[in-house]
Amino acid sequence: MMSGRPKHLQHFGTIALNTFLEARHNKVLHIGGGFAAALIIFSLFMGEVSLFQNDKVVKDVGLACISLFGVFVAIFLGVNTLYRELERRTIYTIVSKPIDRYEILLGKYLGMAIVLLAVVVMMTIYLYLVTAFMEGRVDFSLLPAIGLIFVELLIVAAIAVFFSSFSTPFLSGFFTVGLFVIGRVTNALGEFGQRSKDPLFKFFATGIQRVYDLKAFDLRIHVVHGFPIYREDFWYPVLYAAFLIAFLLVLSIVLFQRRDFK
Amino acid sequence: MLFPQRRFSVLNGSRREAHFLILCLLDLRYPKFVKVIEVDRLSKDYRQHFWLPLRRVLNSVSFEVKPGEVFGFLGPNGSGKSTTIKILLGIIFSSEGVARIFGKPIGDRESKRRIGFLPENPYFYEYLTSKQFLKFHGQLMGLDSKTLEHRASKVLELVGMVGTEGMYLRNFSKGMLQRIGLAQAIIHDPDLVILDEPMTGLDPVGRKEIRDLMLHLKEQGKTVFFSTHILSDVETICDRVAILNKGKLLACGTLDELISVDIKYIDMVWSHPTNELESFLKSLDTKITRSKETIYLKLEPNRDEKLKDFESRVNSIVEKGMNYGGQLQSLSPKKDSLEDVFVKQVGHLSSRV
Repeated sequence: MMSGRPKHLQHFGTIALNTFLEARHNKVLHIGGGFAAALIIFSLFMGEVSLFQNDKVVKDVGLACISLFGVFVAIFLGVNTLYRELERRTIYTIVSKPIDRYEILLGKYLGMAIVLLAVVVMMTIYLYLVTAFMEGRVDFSLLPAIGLIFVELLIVAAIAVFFSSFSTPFLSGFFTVGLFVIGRVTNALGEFGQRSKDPLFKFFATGIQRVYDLKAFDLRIHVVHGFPIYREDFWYPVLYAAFLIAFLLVLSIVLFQRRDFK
Repeated sequence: MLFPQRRFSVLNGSRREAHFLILCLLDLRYPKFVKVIEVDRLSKDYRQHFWLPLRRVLNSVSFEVKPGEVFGFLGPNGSGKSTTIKILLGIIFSSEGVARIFGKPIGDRESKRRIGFLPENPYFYEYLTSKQFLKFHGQLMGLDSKTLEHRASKVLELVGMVGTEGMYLRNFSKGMLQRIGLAQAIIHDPDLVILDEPMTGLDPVGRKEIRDLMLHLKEQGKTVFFSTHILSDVETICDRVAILNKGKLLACGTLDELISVDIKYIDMVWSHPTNELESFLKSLDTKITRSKETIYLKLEPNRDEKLKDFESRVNSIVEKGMNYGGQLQSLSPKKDSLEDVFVKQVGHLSSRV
């Protein structure tokens, strides 16, 4: 008897769960997580050397750790999960099943998103435990910043999946890191362009910032220093991320559909 | 599921489909005239690197596999066997030619639902237990949890892996991995099982187990298509074989069609030979080998000599030899084996590179 559930959903779920299980057993991610957790503890001591800024330092370093470790996981998984299936030829048995290639790719992406969510949730709980120990209360104002960190990680994972749909892990990792760094500096480039007197450079610099700007996902300064966060500060980046991720995944599917798995 | 998964429209006046339905009902099996696999002038070009020219690894290969048969796909390493299988399963795309499975183009979801596949040197997710592994593949086949539970127990029993449900695949030996791989290939009770080098790296017992399993599948009416270069396996279980080399199909047919029925030579052994017998055998225009108590000779038919004449000549030699006081210990006619056919077709090792 065949399952009554829609096949696509079942396939996404099966592939995603397997991706999650694979990541759960990955030692590199465990070590990275341990390192990030140790850094948050270390921020307690860094706070001690600041002038009455202990809580801000801990929150700032804590959010930076969630972001950095998340980016590491997104890139590591993004460039490796698809490649591993090809390298170990486990993809052969999957492709031979009644499953479309786009289901494999989207299932993998969904699995990565679940892993990233688990990472962000665990690190957030950890950060809250540390701040609660220090302040004696739970500061929920950090949540919008953590939410946007997660959305940014989804973009980074989509970039990594895009490159890994046609390239090796090394090149995919290289390009993804490159695009991530570019995304973090386009904001500064845009501001620089605004002040420039060269119309061509101004057009180029502000244009890039409008199309691709990952700094928009960074609300760390706002939440740490208590600056106001408006609704559009959160929802515009989320909407932008949805379009960018959809665009990247469609491109990845187009490339993956035509690929020979030698 | 031996009955074809087709929808018939008898009432809408399609005579051809009505005819098809009647034939199916009479046969109560998958009709013989529907080919399980049809490969028509299939070619594949590869480029090792983008700056290198295209290399043809599969060259206009055509063959058919009929329902219920065990079909052996023979060829040396690099002959194009795995490439053909990958094209059939949609893992890679053909450069030219057409292939169909159950009459449908490659990649069709319905036909894929009826295929089970075991790749060469399979690597499976080592962090899964064998039960989780079967569940993963069963879910991809669209099986519901109740059927999956039942089928998992059944296939584990079939491949002799009962009791390993909770074992992680990382602890499995090569033979166990091969068997669990086979279990995932048949978890959904497929009509066609495709196995790429299923005997590679297995010990004689493991090979026999896989062979027995293939015969069991055949008994159940399944079609088995497998690639190998172990000829003894092919001779034991295959109904038909195809021989491939350098991407070209050299021969295809039943074993009887490929292996010559003619006698190639006769081995004759005489024990306790007398001097007269030895002189007589030496007078024959053939090479003899003398040991302390036996004489061995190899009798080959002369060029253009008919089988009947050769047999008469051998009979006459035996008769005369016995008259000279010899004791005939053995007389064994030798025919071409599949190995001879294979070597003849494929040629010397150096010519394969």
